[in-house]
Amino acid sequence: MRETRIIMGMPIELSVAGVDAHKIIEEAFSHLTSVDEQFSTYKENSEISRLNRGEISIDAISPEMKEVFAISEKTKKETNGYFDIRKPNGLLDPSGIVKGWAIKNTAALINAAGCQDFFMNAGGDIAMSGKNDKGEEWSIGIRNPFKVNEIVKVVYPRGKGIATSGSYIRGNHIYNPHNPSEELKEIVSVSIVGPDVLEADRFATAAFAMGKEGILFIENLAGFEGYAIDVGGIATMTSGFMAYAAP
Amino acid sequence: MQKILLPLVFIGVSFLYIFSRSPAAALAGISAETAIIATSTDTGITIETVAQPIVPEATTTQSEAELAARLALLQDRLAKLERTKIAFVATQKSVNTATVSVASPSSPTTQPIAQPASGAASSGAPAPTVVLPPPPPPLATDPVPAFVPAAIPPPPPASGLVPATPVASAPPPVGNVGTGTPAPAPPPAASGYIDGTYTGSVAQAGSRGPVQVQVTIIGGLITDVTFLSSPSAAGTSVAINASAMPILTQEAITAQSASVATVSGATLTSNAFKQSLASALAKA
Repeated sequence: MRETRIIMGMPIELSVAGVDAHKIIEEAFSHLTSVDEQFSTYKENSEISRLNRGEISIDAISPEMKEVFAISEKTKKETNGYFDIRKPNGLLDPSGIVKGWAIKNTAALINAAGCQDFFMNAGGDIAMSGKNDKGEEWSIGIRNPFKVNEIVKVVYPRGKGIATSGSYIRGNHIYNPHNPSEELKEIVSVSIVGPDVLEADRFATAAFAMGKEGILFIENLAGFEGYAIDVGGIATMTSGFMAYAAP
Repeated sequence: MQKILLPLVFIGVSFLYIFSRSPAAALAGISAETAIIATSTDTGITIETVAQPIVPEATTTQSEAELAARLALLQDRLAKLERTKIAFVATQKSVNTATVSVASPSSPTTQPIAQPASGAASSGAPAPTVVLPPPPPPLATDPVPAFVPAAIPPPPPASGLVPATPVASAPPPVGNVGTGTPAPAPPPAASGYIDGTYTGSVAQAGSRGPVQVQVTIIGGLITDVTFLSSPSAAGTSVAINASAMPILTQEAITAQSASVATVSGATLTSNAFKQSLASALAKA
């Protein structure tokens, strides 16, 4: 079964091998909706919006918010500041972490419900488990950043997570903290395969913000492989990336 | 996986040349055994030129003004070297690296300079794609570094220097020098340097931006030379610095016709978003 819904302002696609998965799918989307209610900076009454308006003190935030902030802080350190949920205007916007975090948690829910074969794709960040209906590895296409209806690579992450960060994002929530005015345009797309979707997502975001240095950063990061596409349509891949190009 | 940038080997050698052969360096109280470590975190490049501890020429007293002059000379030299490095890297865009270490010839290991890894081949991954850029030519046939010795004054009389091993006499081993093979160390005496950390003035590296170094003296020895700033701000410099990457496989992207379960791409702009949504819903 496959279903796509718009949550967190993006299409979220859930595909579960087998037929009778209505209940699991409903529970998964329901969880994502509740996460959105809590973390969306576009929703007036979300916890993050109230925190940013000072209506909640930082000491009174929920355990989920604390967890997301902790992951954000960890990512900021690991990426030398390239990932930072504090925007130049001083407000907190953890959406760069929340998507991967929510998908990872939802995947765990689906697993816990007894379903082992599925994938979930939230705006290009993909968690997967098991195999498809034919018993094959899940195949993931990397989108052509210049032609959205095309793919330029097929990868088989085999249960790991994959995420892509690119220059045609909505809003301006990826920037270089060391040089905020810098136009991040040399690299237009970075796809990362990592231990899980959250890990892939946070390092895709950071590697993209690093521009040309990003793929080098990933090359030196154990457990991660990457595929970066520059404005000239040339892709640079880490040394272990091609291991994921075959099923 | 550590990758080697051959040109930086020569730059490393040039450190040795400068500090072992230059009369000016000798004037500055530096012997052939000076240990220099230069790093540039901005560029991601590390150069380590490791030799034996500094040995004083004599225990002459030096005024602070003399010391300051010598420090300034050293800093100027380092700034020039950095500019040389940048210029060199700019000519060698096809050569990539992360770290280079050059040991003194007195090191017991004398293996020849290792060939840089060729593309992603060393990972054992399949290599179905074009590897760009090509691996650099071996040291012996690389014509470019010739300019390095050319820029260096002829060796001074050896009398003033304690065991001045000829730098070019043997291929310097490349590799894990940071862990060090401490050569027979003459007892360090007063080198004329006063312990502390000294920051040089900002030097302009042509159009490529400012260079500033910091020198740390411990026990009278130069223990560290750090580039506080190196060209990174200007667009051209960014491009040049970014070229100092490991050799990674590259390919021109081409549309694939394979059918896939799903697609990973950046979150879309509203137009592309609608387009993709339509296609996603069509499949749903």
